[in-house]
Amino acid sequence: MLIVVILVALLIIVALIVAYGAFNAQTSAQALGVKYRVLNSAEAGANLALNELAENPNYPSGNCVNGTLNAKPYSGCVELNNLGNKGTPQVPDPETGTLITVPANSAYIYGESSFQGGRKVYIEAIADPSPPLTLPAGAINSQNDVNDLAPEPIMQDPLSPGDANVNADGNINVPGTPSTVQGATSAVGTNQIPGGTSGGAAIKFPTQIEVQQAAQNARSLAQAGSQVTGASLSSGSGGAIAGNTYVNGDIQLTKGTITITQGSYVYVNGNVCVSGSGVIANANQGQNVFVVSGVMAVTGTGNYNAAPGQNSLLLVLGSDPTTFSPCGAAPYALDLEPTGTPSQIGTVYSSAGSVYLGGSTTLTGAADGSNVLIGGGPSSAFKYDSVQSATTMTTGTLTYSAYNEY
Amino acid sequence: MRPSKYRSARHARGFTLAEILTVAVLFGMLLTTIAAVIPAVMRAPAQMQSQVDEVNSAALALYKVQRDARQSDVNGVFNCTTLPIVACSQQVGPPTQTQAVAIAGNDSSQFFLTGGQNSGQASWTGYTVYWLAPSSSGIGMDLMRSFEPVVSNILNGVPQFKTADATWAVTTALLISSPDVAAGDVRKLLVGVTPANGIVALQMSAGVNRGDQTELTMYGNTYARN
Repeated sequence: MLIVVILVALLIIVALIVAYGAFNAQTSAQALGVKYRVLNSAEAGANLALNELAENPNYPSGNCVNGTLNAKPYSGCVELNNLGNKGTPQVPDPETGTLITVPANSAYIYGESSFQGGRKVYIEAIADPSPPLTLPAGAINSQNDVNDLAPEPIMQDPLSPGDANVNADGNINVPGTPSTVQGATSAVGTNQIPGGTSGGAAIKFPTQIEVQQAAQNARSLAQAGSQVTGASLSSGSGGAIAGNTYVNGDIQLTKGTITITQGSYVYVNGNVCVSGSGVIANANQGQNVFVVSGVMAVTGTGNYNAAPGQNSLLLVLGSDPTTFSPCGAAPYALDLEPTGTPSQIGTVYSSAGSVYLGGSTTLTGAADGSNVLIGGGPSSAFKYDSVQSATTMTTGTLTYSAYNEY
Repeated sequence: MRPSKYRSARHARGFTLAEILTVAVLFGMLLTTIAAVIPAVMRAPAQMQSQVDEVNSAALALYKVQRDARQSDVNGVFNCTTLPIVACSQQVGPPTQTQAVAIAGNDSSQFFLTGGQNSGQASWTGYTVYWLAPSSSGIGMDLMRSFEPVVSNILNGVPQFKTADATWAVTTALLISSPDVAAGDVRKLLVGVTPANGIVALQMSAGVNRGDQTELTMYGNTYARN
């Protein structure tokens, strides 16, 4: 009997030791988890304050919004809103009391959080309006290579002769006969167009963050307008998009005309495929943007038109299809191969994929992309429109220009 | 109640020698087993705690590196060698193994410039250096941390991060006789940056380097916010 009691006691002691060790391990792992959760909660507060300010640039100074993330309460405060002002006022740091100078047209915001009343974690930031989405001047600009596959005339803008410049931050490759360019050609790498510049200076494209901000801003404004489905515009009888509009789903247009008017932001959450006798006529005025979240192709007698003399930006966010295009076209994010009537395309920008310029008609505007392929040949032409290329879309959002946490 | 015949008979005759020997042998075997198992069982929690502590220490160190990277500029993060010579460069792309990393930043709680045309921008006062060095215990590597002051100028609103400054910071840090240990038993540190979207990719492998070779790899990608 005594032996049994001793054995049971030993087993209980061992179990307690094992349980204690496991508890200690769990406790130390939890402590790190709490750190992350409190930090994320404070950051959520700062981000919420930033959103409040983006939605209302006149958001009053000293106001806070509260919330909870990861079961940790946070506050997000716009401590000093100096947006739209030229002065450089100062405001005390909420934690240290040190005076912080808030630059002109900026705001000082912070988020704070803590765990069960413990040490507060602060995320503080200076927020500025995001820079506009400025695209480089020139008829054709590539972040990587320009592949001149067929000798297509790249024509100047009649308003400023000799300005149809072609630039590549990689190489300009010419496997056959080069295109005739009424402007300068320059590549950071090798430029195979005779008379062009090799080893030239790089041109500046918007960063991915700027593109995402511009796209997100366009999406928000489009969603705040009207919403239609891509299917409803793909019936063949065309349709009208009036005002800022969010199109959910692919547009597969083989006939009919979709007319876009009275707005500045159209966001297509899907692909846009125009072929047959389908036409997208973008008659929006002034600075306007047509965003395609997937890929876009214009083939056959299909057409995409922007209004002449405006600042129309066609922004395609998708990357090159790896196997086949959802539009049944060539595997490029933006495939422009119309064979019908000449068209104004405005500035087209494929931020993550290639632009293919082909077909057998004249396209007028400016083409920017991760890669640009010139493939139309003598039966086609690309004509520069310097007014359209001056697109500098404001993103309407705010971004952190300085960030600190403690 | 009347006692049974069996119990009466057994009590009457006692145990045979064979019975006693069998029980003694079985009991001996049981005690031997317990004696062999209990020390291992008793050591296990401490061993587990040791592993957890070391991995947890590395996780905390990764948290610190993340935090420094988050408050930095993506162009101010450099991978560096410490041996045979100190040399820094920016690793654009996926994280690669490095002996040290230098992260531009500010070691104080006051991080905003307060005067002149650059007011409100981050105040770049130096580099936080993390490097792997042989552990003082002689087993494995430790991750050391030090902040070295090197002012990065701001030109037309753009901070000027130089590989020469990062190299100097790492060289200076390596001369510290007793640097702070950010974490023990760190086996690998991998860093890479993607300037286009401001991401600093971090990876750290840590674990007990004695006998069982336990290793845990942690990932800590973050955005450089400045």
